[in-house]
Amino acid sequence: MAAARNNHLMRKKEAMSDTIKVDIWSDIACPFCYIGRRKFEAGVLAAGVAVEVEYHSFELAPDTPDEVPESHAEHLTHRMGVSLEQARGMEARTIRAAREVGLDIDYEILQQSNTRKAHQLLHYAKVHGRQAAMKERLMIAYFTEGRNMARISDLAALAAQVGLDRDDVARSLEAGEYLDEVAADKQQAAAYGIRGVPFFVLESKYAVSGAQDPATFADVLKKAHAENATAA
Amino acid sequence: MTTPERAATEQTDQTATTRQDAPAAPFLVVGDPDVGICEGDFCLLPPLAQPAETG
Repeated sequence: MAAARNNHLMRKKEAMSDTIKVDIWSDIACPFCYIGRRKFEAGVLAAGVAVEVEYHSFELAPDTPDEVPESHAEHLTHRMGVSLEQARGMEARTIRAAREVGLDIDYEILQQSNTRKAHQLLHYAKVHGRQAAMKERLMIAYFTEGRNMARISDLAALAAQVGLDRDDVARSLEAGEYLDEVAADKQQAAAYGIRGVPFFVLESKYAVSGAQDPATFADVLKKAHAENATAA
Repeated sequence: MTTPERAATEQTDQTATTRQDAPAAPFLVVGDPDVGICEGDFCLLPPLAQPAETG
């Protein structure tokens, strides 16, 4: 009996050491979070390491209104003081960077919007075991489908597509649930000194900042995995 | 979200300085500093050729 229990504990410990915990701070309205996620996933595959991913909220522009009437390029000209032609060139380079990892970004239909409700939804999805799927669906909706990230009806419809209860999601967002969790994530990011996203923290020991190449993710995942195995 | 080019601009220099200062967390940050990343109300593209930051 004792031997069986010990075997069980050993297997549990081995399973824990085999899985690398990765905490990711990111925003929805963040093309390099979208691109970086694909590069991270490629790195995970290359490393052959099991990961447990948890997404955390980071609002790049929390003062963005729910509806932004101007186009992304027009917004760029106002915020950065560049010409419309220059803004289009920047968009084109971002689109190319996305295409290199098999993603589409359509700035012609993209609707800039406040992303706080989307972050609340991601916390709701985490509680219901659907955070990764929800994150993916939100990013596709924002970058390729022109969906508004502040409109509860849109968010609830997207949530239903990943298996969440549409009506309960709408109720949750209307009630302002998970605002504390969003704030806590932002507070943790501030405590860590995180200024830019995506930002990946592995085993609370290593960090990867920005949309790094898959090889960078693979190397640090293998390093963390080897260290866990040694410590086990 | 805006996407200014990473160029020899004041914004880029400020960003480079920020990255040297951050993060304050007790972990080792790995990787190339010149990759695409979003900070504040804008994003920085990776450089086209030679790194633009000179300072």
